[in-house]
Amino acid sequence: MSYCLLACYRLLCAKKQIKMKRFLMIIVIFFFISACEKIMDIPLGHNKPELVVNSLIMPDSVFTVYIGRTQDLSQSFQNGIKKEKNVICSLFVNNSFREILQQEDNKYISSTNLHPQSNNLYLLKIYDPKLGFAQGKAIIPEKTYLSNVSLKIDNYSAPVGDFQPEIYSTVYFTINDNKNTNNYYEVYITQYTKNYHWGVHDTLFWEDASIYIFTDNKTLDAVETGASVLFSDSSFNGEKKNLAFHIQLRSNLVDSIKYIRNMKIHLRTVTKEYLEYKESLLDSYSTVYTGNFSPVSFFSNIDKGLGIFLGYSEDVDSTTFPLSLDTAVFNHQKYFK
Amino acid sequence: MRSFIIICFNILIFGYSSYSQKISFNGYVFEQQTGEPILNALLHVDSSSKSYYSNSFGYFNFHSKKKVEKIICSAYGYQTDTIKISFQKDTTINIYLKSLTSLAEVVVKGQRNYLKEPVMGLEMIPQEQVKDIPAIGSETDVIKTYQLLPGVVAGNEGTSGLLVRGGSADQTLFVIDGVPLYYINHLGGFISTFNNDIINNVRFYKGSFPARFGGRLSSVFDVSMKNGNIKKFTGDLSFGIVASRFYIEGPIVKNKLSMLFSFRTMPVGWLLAPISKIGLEDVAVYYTFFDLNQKFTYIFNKKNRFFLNFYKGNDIFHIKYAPDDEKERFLSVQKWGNEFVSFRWNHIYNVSLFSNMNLYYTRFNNLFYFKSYHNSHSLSNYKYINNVNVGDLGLKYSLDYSINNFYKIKTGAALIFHVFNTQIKRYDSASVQIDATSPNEKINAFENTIYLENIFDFGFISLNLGARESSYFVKNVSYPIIQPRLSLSLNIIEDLFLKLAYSYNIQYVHHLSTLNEVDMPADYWLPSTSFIKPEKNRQLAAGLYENIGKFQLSVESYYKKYSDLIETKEGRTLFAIDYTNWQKNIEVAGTGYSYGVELLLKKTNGIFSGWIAYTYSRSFRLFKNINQGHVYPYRYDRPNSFNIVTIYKLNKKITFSAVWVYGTGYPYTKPKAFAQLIDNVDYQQFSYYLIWEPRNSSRMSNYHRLDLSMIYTKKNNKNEKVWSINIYNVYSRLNPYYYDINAYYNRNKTYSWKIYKYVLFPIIPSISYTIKF
Repeated sequence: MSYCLLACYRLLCAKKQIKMKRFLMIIVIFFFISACEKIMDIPLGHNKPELVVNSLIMPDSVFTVYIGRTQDLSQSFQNGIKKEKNVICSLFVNNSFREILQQEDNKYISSTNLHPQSNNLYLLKIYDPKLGFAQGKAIIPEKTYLSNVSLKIDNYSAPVGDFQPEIYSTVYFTINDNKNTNNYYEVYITQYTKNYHWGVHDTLFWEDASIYIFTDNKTLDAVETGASVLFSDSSFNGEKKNLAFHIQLRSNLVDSIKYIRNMKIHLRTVTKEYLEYKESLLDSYSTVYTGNFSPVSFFSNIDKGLGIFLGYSEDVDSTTFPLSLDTAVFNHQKYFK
Repeated sequence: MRSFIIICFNILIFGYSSYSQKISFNGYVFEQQTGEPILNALLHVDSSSKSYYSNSFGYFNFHSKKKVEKIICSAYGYQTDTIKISFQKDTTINIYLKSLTSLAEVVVKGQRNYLKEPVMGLEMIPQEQVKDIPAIGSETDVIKTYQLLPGVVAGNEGTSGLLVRGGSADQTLFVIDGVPLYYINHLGGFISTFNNDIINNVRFYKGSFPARFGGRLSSVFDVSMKNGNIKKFTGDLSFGIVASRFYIEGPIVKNKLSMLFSFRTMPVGWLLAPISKIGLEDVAVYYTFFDLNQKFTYIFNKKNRFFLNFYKGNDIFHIKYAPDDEKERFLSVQKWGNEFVSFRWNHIYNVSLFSNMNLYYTRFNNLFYFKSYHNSHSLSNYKYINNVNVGDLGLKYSLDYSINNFYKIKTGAALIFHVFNTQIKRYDSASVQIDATSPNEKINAFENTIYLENIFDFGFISLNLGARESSYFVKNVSYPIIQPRLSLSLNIIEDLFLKLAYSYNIQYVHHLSTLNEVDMPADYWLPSTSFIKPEKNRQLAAGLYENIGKFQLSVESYYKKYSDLIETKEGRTLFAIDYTNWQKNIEVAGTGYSYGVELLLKKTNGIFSGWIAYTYSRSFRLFKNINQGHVYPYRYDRPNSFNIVTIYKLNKKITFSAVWVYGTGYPYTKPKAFAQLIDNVDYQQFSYYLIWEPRNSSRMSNYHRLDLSMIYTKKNNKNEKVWSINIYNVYSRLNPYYYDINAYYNRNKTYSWKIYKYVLFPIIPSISYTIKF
C-alpha cells in the first residue's frame, strides 16, 4: 500500500508538479477505499471426539465395519485418521446376539464369515472405552433385477489440443419394480478396458472403472453424484420401467477407445437413508476444501455417534462395447458419423 | 368472503345514511416557499376538537355542521397556522405553511391524534431530523436512519437492508411514489438508492400494514418524492468521498408545471482506473455508481394533477486487462441496478372523493459480461453473458372516500404483470453459443389485487378494518388469497393509547442470496411457481403509546408466524449444481416464528431531539432438510439491540449529533470436527468431511459503535454552504462484518482450519461539502 502511494506520489509529482495538499487528498481517498478491511483469527475451540462408524452391507459380502473418531479441526488431516482400536463391536441379527466382530487391519469383520441377507434386521452395538457407546440399525432391501440392457453411441466430439475426446452414449435397461415397497435405486456404470498401453512406460488398467453418468429424465427427480444416479420409484411404483441414462466414456486419447470391451450396469436397490446420505456427501464435498458453501448437516443413523450403517442389494448386467478388438484400425470419423 | 362483503356493504350503507346536512371541506396543505405538498400535516378543528391528516399527496377533507370553523394546521418542521373560514357550501381551500427557521419547538395542536391513528408500528422521522444524522462517508441516508429504530435490524454492518421484526431483507416492500423497487443498494449496501435530496417524506410501516399495501411479509418503506419547487429554481451541489450530487428543482411554468432533476455518483470510483493501472500493471479496475431522478408535476386544474417520474440507478464494476503485446486480454463488466418510469394522475371527483391512478414499469437488471481473448489458445476465446432481471408493469387505481367524520373508505385495485428473466450464455469467438446446459428461462406471472379499508373514528376508539384479495397466475397455477387486516386504537386515559393489530400477508416474489456475506447482485428474485408456494405470515401485535410532555413513549410487542418460506438447500447455490433445474436447489415449505418487545422514547423536535430504542426479539426457522429438521435461529436473529440517537442544535449554524448502537452478535455456524466417511463402497474409498455444529448455534462478537457528526451551515443572501463532518465508529470497535471458515496450508505442509473474522469499518472520518442555491 505504502509503496503504491509512494510510486503514485512520485509519478504525479514528476509529471504534473502536484502539490502536497492534493496528494493528501489522494491519501484520504486511498485510506477510505482500501484500508478498511481487517482479518482476525477466532479460536475454534476443542470438541469432544465422537465415534465415526462406516458400514455399507450387501448380500454375498463379508460383514465389515470401519470405526474411527472425529478429529479436532486444529489438527491437520493430511496424515489421515487412525482407526479406533480396542473397540468392542457386537452384532445382533433380528434382535439376537450373533457375534463380536474381530479387528483386522483397519476394520472390524465377521469372524464367522457372516454374509448379510435381505430383510434381516442388523444391529451394531459399539463400545469404546474412551468414547463410550454408539449403535446403529440396518436392513438390506430386496434385490431388484434389471433386464434388456443395451448401449448406443450418441455423440462424439473430436479432441481439441490436449483435451480428451468426449464420447457420450446412452445406456438402456428395464427394471422390475416391486409394487409392495417404496424402492430407491442407485445406478452406476463401469467400463472395462483391456490392457491399454499408453506410451512406453505407462500402462492403463481400467478394469471396471466407474464412469460419468447423468440423466435428463425429469420425472425421476434424480440425484446425480457424477459417478452414480440415485432415484426413487415414486413415478413408476410397481411397474416394469424402461430407463435410459447418459454416460461419458473414459478415454484419455482417441486411440484408447478401441480397447474398451464392455460396460457393466450396476443397479443397487438402496434405502431412503442411503439416498439421503449420498446427497449430503455430494452437498458437502466442496466445503472440505473451500469452506465457502453453507454448512451441511450430514445424514447419520448412528446413535451417539456419526456415520452410517446401511444396507443395499445389487444386480449387475453387462453389454459389449460395439467395437470389437478385431477392428484393429479405428476410424472414429467413420464410426461416429 | 361473501359474509365479509355483506358486512362491508352494511357498514357502507350505515355510514352513508348518517351523511347528510353537513358541509364538506377539502384541499391540500403546501409548503409556502416551494409549493411542495406537506404529508401528514395535522388539521385540528377547534369546534369539534377533532383532527384530520393530509394524505400522501398532501390532500385532506372533513365534514362540518358549523358554517364558521377555526382550523389549526401544524406539521413538524413548519410554523403552525390558524385559519378562520366561513362557508355556506362544500369548499375547497389550500393551506400554506411556512418552513421553520428558528430553533423554537413546534407545538403541534392535537398531537395526540398521531397516536390515535389506527395503524401499528408506523414510524415517520421528519426529513429535517434525517438530514442531521449523517451516516458513513458523511452521506445522509434515510435507510441508515430508519435502521436505528426498534424492531429493525440492518443485516451486515454498513448495509442498507431493513430487516424488520425477524423478517428477511426481501420481506420489506420499498416503494417510491407508489412504484416498487427490487434493489435498493449501492456499493454493496453501504449507500441506499434513495437520494435524500429528492425525498419529501417517508412512512415506514414495520408492523401490521394497512390493506392498501401488500406483496411483502414484514414491512413497507413508503417514500414520497418531492414534486419540484413550483415557485422558483433551487438546488444544491455536493461533494463527498462516497458520493457527489447535483440537484435542481423549479418551475417550467410558474405555479403550473414543475421539474426536479437529481444526479448522484461516486467520482472517486472513476479515479480507481488510472491508479489501479499503476499498481496492477495493465489491469484497469474501477467501480462506481449513479442515480438519476427526474420528475415533472403538472397542475392541470384544482381537481387534476399529473406526475411523470423517471429513475435509473446503476452500479458498475469494470476490470480490463490489456497488455501492450496484445497476446491475451480480457474484459469483465458487471452492471446492476433499478430503473422505473411512472405516470400518475390525482383526481378529485368531489370534496369527499379523491383518486390516484399509477401506471408504472419497474425493473431490476443484473448483467455480467466477460470476454476473453488469447491469440494462440482458441478455447480461451469466448464471451460469457449472465443477465438476470425482474420487471413489473403495473396499473394501480385507488380511491379515498370520506363518507363522514367517523367513517372513511380507502379502496383500490391493481394489475401487475411480472417478468422474471434468466439468461446465462457462453459464446465462442464466432458468437456461436457453446454451452447448451446454461439456463435461458423466462417466467411470466400476472397478479391482480383489490383491497378495501374501512376506517372508523368514534372518538375513544379508532378502527381500520380491511382486507386485500390478490390472485397470482404463473404457468397454469394460480394462488388466489384473501388477506384480512385489522388494527384498532383505544384511548384508555387522556394521552394513553392501546393499539392492537392483526394481519395476514402474502409474498409472491422471493429473494435468494447466493452469497452469505454480502448483499451483492448475484442474488436472485424468484417467482412463485407450482413448486415454490407464496410465502405467508400472520402477525399479532399490541402496543401502548403515551405522550409525556415533550416526549413520546411507546411499547410494542408482536408475534409472527411464517409458512411456505424458502431457502437455498444446504451446501447448494442457486445455479451451482443443476443449471437446468434450479428449483432442485431450493428448500421449500419452511416455517418460522418471531416475537419481540420494542421500547421507544423519542423527542421529535426542538434544540435537543432524538430517541432511545431498545428491542428484545427472537426469530427462528424450520425446514425439513436443513439442520436435520430442527428449529434454528434465523441468520439475523439479534436478541438485544439498543440505540441512542441525539441531535443538538447549538445555534442556527451548528448542529451536533451522536449515535450509539449496540446489538447482540448475529448467529453463525461453526464447524466442530472433521470425519472420514465412506463415499465409494466398491473401492473402499473414504474422504474427509467437515462436521458442523447445529446451524446458527454460535454467536459473533457483540456489535457496538459510536458515531459523531457536526454540521456547519453558513448562509448568505445568495446561497447556503453546508460542511458535514462525520466520524464513524469513534472508538474503532472491530465489529465483525462476517465470519469465514477456511482451511489454510501451514508450515508443516498440512491443512488446518481457522475462523476468520472480517472487519470492514474501524474508525472512519469523512467530510462532505454542499452548496445550496
